[in-house]
Formats: sequence, C-alpha cells, structure tokens
Amino acid sequence: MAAQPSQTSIDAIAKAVYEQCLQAPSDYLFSVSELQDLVPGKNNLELTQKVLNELLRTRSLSALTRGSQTVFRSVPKDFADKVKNMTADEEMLYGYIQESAREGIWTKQLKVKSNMHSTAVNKALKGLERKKYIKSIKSVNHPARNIYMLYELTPSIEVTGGPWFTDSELDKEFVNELLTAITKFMISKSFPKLPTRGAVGSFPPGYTGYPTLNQVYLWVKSSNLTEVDLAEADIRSLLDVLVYDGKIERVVGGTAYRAVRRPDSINGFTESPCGRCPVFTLCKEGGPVSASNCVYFEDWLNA
Amino acid sequence: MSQNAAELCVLLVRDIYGEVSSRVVSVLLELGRLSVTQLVDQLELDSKIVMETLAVLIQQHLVVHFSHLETGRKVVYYECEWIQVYELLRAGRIIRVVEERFGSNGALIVSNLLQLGHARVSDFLTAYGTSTKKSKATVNTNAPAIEDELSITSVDILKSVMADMMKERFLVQVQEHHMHIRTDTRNTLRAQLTSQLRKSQLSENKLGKEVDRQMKIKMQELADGDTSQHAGMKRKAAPASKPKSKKRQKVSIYDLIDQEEEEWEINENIVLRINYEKFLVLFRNAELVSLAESRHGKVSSRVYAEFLKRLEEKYFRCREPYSGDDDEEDDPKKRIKLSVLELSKTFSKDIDLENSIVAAPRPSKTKARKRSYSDGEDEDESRPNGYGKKVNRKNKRRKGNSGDDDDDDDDDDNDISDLEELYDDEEEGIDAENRRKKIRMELLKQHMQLLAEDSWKFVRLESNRGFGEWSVNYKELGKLMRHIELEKVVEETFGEMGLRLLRIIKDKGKLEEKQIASIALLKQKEIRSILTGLQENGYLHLQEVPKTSIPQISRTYFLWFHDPDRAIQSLITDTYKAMSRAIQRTNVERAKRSSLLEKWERSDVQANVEEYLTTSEKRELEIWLSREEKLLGQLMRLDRTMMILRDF
Repeated sequence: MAAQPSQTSIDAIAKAVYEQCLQAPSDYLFSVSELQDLVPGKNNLELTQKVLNELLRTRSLSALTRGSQTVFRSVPKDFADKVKNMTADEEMLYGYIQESAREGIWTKQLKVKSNMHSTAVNKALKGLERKKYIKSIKSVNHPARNIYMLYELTPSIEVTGGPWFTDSELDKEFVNELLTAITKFMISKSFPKLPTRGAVGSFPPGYTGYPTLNQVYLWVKSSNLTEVDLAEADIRSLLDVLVYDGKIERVVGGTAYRAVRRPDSINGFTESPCGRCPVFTLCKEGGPVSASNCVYFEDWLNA
Repeated sequence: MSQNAAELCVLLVRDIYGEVSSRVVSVLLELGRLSVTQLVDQLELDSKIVMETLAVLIQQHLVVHFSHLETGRKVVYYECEWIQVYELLRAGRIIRVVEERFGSNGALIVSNLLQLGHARVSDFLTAYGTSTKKSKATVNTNAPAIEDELSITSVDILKSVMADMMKERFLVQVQEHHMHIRTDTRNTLRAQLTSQLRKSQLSENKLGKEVDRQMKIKMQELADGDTSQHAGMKRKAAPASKPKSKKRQKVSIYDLIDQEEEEWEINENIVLRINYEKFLVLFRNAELVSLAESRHGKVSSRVYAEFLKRLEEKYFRCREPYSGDDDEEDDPKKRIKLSVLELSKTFSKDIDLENSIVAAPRPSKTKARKRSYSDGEDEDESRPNGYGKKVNRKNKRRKGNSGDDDDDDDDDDNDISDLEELYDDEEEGIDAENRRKKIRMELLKQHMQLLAEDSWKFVRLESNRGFGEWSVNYKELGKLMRHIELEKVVEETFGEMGLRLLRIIKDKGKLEEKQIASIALLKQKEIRSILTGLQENGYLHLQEVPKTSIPQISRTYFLWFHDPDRAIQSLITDTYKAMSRAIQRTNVERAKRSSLLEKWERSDVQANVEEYLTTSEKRELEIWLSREEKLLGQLMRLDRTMMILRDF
C-alpha cells in the first residue's frame, strides 16, 4: 500500500490533471476512467477520488450525468477563478443565469428555480453585478421585467427585437433612413431615364429588370448605409413597409419590386378647411361652431 | 340618405329655387313621402303656393309623385328625389362636356334643358325661334338670366345635334316612371307580376324567386328605356305583364329609332331630359385617364382615353343596380371588349406614339436591363412575352453590333421579328403605309399591355384576337378609385404613418396592435393614437374577442379591421357636410356685402363701374369675387371626390 499522498502532492496532481483536461475541447466530457488515466500510478482509485474531489472543490471540473454515468467537464480557468470569488448563493444564481445564455433570465424565474428568498436573491444578484459577472438587460417583449444575463454575452434577437431596436426602443430614425435610401434606389431602378427632363416614361411591358429582394439586399450591403448586420429577411420587412406606404409595388409575380408614381394627394375633401377641421363634428348651423363664424374658413379664404 | 346630404340638398334648392321650394324639399326630405294636405300642414303655407311650388319641382324632376287609391279616393303622394337635387351641382360640368363634344349648339340645348328640367322637342324648337342663347350656365348663374346677344342657329342643325345627343344617350326620352316614386313603381310592378304568375300555380317559394327574377329584367328594361337589345329579353316575361301604357311607349320608341336611321330626324313629339347617368360614365372615364396619366404618363393615358371612349356607348351608367352581384365577372362572354385592331381604326392620328416619350427612352431602357443582367441576378428569368424587345429601329441598329444581344433576339415573338423585318424593309419602300399602320398597332398594343400590367389593372386582356382584345373591369376600378380617395384623406389627415397602418390592416384583415406595430416597424405607443384617430373617423373598427367565457378587458383580444364600405360611407357623409359648409360660407360672405353687391348689380352701375364705385368698394368687390370663386371651386372639387366615392 502506497503511503498516503500528502495534500500538497494531491494539489499538484490535480493541477496537472486540470491542465491536461483544458487541452481537450471545452465541451468534451470526461468519464471517470479517462480521468483516472490522467492520474499517475495504477489502481490509484483512492488517489483519483481525492484528486477529483479537489478539482470539484476548486470548481475546476463540474460534474454532470450522462445516462447513469457521471461525467466531468473542465471549467475554463477564468471561470474557475470567478467562482472562487462567489458566495454559495451567488454561485447557484450564476449557474442559472449562465444556463439561460443569450436569452437572459427573469428574476422571478430565478427565485422559483433557486427556491431562495427574494432578499437573498437580490443580494446575490447585486453582488454578481458589482463584480461584473452579470448584467441587467431589457427585453422588447417584456419591457417591465428585470432580466439578467452573463456580462460578456450580447442579448439575442428575440430579446433585443432585432436590428431595428436600440436599447429595446424601436430606432425610428434608423428605420426611416433606410426606408428613404431604399426608396431612392427603387426609383432609380424603376423608371427609364429620359433625355428630356421631367418627361414621364415607362419600361416596356414584360420588363423583368426590376430589382429583386436579393438585389436590394446586396445593394444595402455594399452601400455602407449601416454598420448593423441586416439579414435578407430584415430587408424584406423594409420592402414590405414600403409596399404598405404605397411607394413601391410587387411585380413579376411578386419576385421583384418597383417604385410607383403616386397620384397627387389632392383631394377635394382634405383641401377644404372642413377636411382638416379639428372641430368638424361639432360644426352645425346655429351651433357654437358654424360656417359663419369659422376661423379656419377665414384663414383659408385669406390664404 | 344622411342628414348631411339632406342639409346640402336643401341649401342647393334654396340657392336656385328660393326659400319656399327649399322648405318644401326640406320637409319632404325630413319626413319622407307626403300628400299635399300633409305637406300644407307641415309648412303652414297657403295650399296654392305649395301646389305651385310642387309643380315647379316636379318639372325639374326634383320631386316625384305617385297616386294611390285609398278608401276609394285617389291620393297623390310626393317624394323628394334627392339625388336629382344633388345633380344641380353638376350643371357646369355637364355643359362643359357637351360643349366639347357637340359645340355651342349642344351646350345651348343642354343648358336650356338643365333649366327646364324636361321639354318637348317641338316646344323647345318653337321657343328657340324667339328665345335666345345662353352659352354659360354654371351653378352660380342659376337664375335664368338671359343675354340677348346671339345669332340664331338654324332649327335643323339643332334638331340633328339633339338626335346625336339622344343616340349617345346624353338626352333620354322622359318616361312615365321618371316622374313616379321609385318604390311605388317597383311595388306596383311586383304586385302585377305576382298576380299574373300566381295563375301559373307555382309554389310560394318558387313564385317569389320567379317574381324576383322577372322584376330584375323589368326594372332593367325601365331603366334602359329604348335599347333594342331588350326586345329579346321581353319574350321571357308573359307579354301581357307589361303595363299597357309602357308598351305603347316602347313601340313608339322603336318607331322613332327606325325613323332616325332612315331620315335622321328627331321625332318632335317626344319629351327629352338630361341623362345624368350617362354623363357620370364620361366623368368616370376622365378620372381613370388622369389616374393612368399619373402612373404611366401622357401617352399611355391618351391611348387609354381613346380606348375608353370607344367603350363608352356600351355603358349606360356607372353602377348597374339590377345586374347580379358578379354577373360580369362570372361570364367572360358578357364582358365588353375591344381589340387593338378595332381601336387603331379610329385612333386619332394626331397622337404621336412613335416618337412619344415612351419610345424615346428605349436606348436607356436597354441599358438598364443589361445592367441588371450583368449583375448576374436574372440571367435565366423568363420573360412572359418578347416585348422587352425594342421596336424602335434606330435603337435596334445602334445596338446591333453588340454581341450580347443576340440571344435576346432569338427568343423574340414572331410578331416582333415580323416587325423588325418591316423596319428593315423601310428603305425599299414597300407598302410604307401598311407598315406604318402595323408599327402603330404594335405600339398601341404595348401601351395597352403597360396598362394591363399595372397593379391597378386599368385594362384586362381577354384574348389575343386582333392584336389583343381588352376589357375594363369598372367595378374593381371603382373600388380602387374609392380606396385611393380614402387613402389620400388618411394620408393628409394622419400622415404617412396613418396610410401605412390603414394599408396594413386592409391587407391583413384583423390584427392586434402589437402585430401591426411590428409589421409597420413603428412603436406601439406611437400607432395607438393614430389607430384611435382612424377609428374616430370611421375608417377603422375594433373587434373584441374575449379569451375567457367571462369577458374581462385584460383577457380580451382587440382586433383592428377595415370595412371599406363603412369607411367610404363615413367619408361621404363628411364630404356632404364639407360641401354644405362651403355653400353656407359663400352665403355668409355674400350677405356681408349685400348692399355693395346690390349696388354693383344695378344696370346703371354695371354700365359704368369705374365711375359709380369708390376705390374701397372696388377692392371689396374684388375680394368678394375671388372668395366666391375659391369657394365654388372648392365645392366642385368636393363634388369630384363625391363622384368617385358615391357614383363610380
């Protein structure tokens, strides 16, 4: 029977094993026997057990179960260092938050999962936040919720609402600028250029050279309009909005788009003072507002 | 009819026929059909005055009547034909159109008929011998002011113009039912039909259906009047079912038509009136043409105008009240079609298609297309037809050298290559006239295709006969025009955002606020106020769908939706109101300056304006004239909106 290995030698062996584990891909799962091979000596069950305990204590390894087997995963060094600075509560919450990945997790859910008292949860979260291990984010879908995620992660599209959102607020200027730019592009591609200025011409019937979604997408990509990474689907929603604005229409069986000339929005109704009157519903002969005392008519007649 | 429409009608009648008439109309509109005694009670006026007023209004077709037998006594009921009152507004428009088509003689006839309501041809002609011409009669010059300054055109010319106008249905013969209350005409006809068909011992259910079917035919016949094509349809109904008087009338009409064809002369015994419905067809075409121009430019719109003009005679009115819901759509055979070949026969040579702006940009068009091809996106995209190809010869030549066009040329239609050959033949001078015709036809076809390709579907391709046969789906276009009008109002009132929201909801059906916001890429907070505004104006509506059996606000879906008919109706009502206000304001402005205007209207002052009016008076007069013009102009623009919303 070999002599009881000293604590210091166990630490050294543990360190060596941990270093070796780090060589493997980060998500590689070690079985007990594999780890045993890493520990020097043969039939060193006892030693292996001690080394493993040491590694688990220092959070260098985390234990998982695969089927009935217990397997281990190496924990990156920086993380292991972090955990060393945490209280037990913090560590547990940190685990849940880490699991939630880029979606983040709502404090209420944290409470339920951890089964901790809310003051304890809050205290632990505060501590983690102060150490810059986690951060609080805002979700577009639930703006009122307090959601946490790991400090180093960027929230997913579901949480941020996609490229149109800045700080979970829809970035109107950004959207409008893109819309204007695309409209201009569409107009330039939809009508033939005429030698005479101001003349109106059309492409011949059956013309298929109108820009497709992909072409617009490539144009936006190459035009340096924005640094935000826009997907083709995002461009499609922009084009949809333009279709709803009546500025472009789908052509060639819906595969391409072209700008349309819009009739002037001259309309007998909105031109007349009544069409823009804020008190139109109150207006009545003999009433407080009527055609005879109408100030809007006076302005309109004087204009 | 809405209250706002009633208000407008009363104002119109007051303006033109004075206070008493307007009160009669107002009571009739408010209370519906009334007998003379009831009317006298309501008005608290002398029955003689009431009777006289009614006579005038009946002559103008503003009031219709019907006699009933009640407890053995004949009682006559009167009803106001408010649509006819509204038509008073359109006098100016109608005269202008007629003047364009039939010259000053036509305008003369129409303006007189507008004043008289209806007139017997012979009376009109005799009166004309001594009467005078009135060239301009717009809404504001409604009082029959007579200007004695004209040369008398010969009666024969007038007669032939009248005959022409009748042939094109701008004038129609007054028939008995024109003077009768519509509901009563219909009820009487139905009663007659029912009693006749009852003899054939059909079951009650079948009887009802059969009566409905025959009613439709009969009403259509009444509305159409003298079209010979309905002779065929008459056989379906039992011949005796026709009211005697009408049958006689019909016969006389056919006689008239025969006579016309042989001798080209109008029967002087018939009574004529203006056919407002037919004018609406013209106005609708004009509106469509201007819409086409805004989309495709002048030349295409002129082609469209010529095309619509050729179809014009086939359309009696804008909306067929008695045709089934989708008759036209169901049966392509019934559609009214015209081929490019036929169109080209009468197509005005003055319209320059060849060197028009559409032909001119072709070189750049080719470039644009090549550019897009070289982008490598659409290389193998199939073109539905070969008309991406250029017809312009010079252009063809110029790019003939560039090799990359060769494969393009290969997939050309035969038509096109024929055409190219034609171009190539030009120098040899073979049958130049024929060739030019063919080129012109090809260009016409291209314009038609352009119009058909538009998402607004100005025309619809029916077949390929004669360089393509086309029809117009007026029903859909009417809907489209109404919607465009609504969109304009929404855009002006609620801005671009309002328009976007309306169009999204119209496209998607029913939507929650959240979904709308995410499609529109707008903030939920921002769109809420706009949606509410749209709802207040009646353009959008809200449906609540409770999630639970016990309705709770927090557990309810609120879905926005757009009901076109309700939205348009609400806009129509508002437009009536705006029109009333414009007239009222005109009256107010006039009243403010009544003494000045009285002075100005005096004949001695008119003769010597410079001397009798002070500088300040002249300035005030100028203000009044410009204001009146502005208000009346606005009224006409409102009427244009109204036509689109209500009549097309």
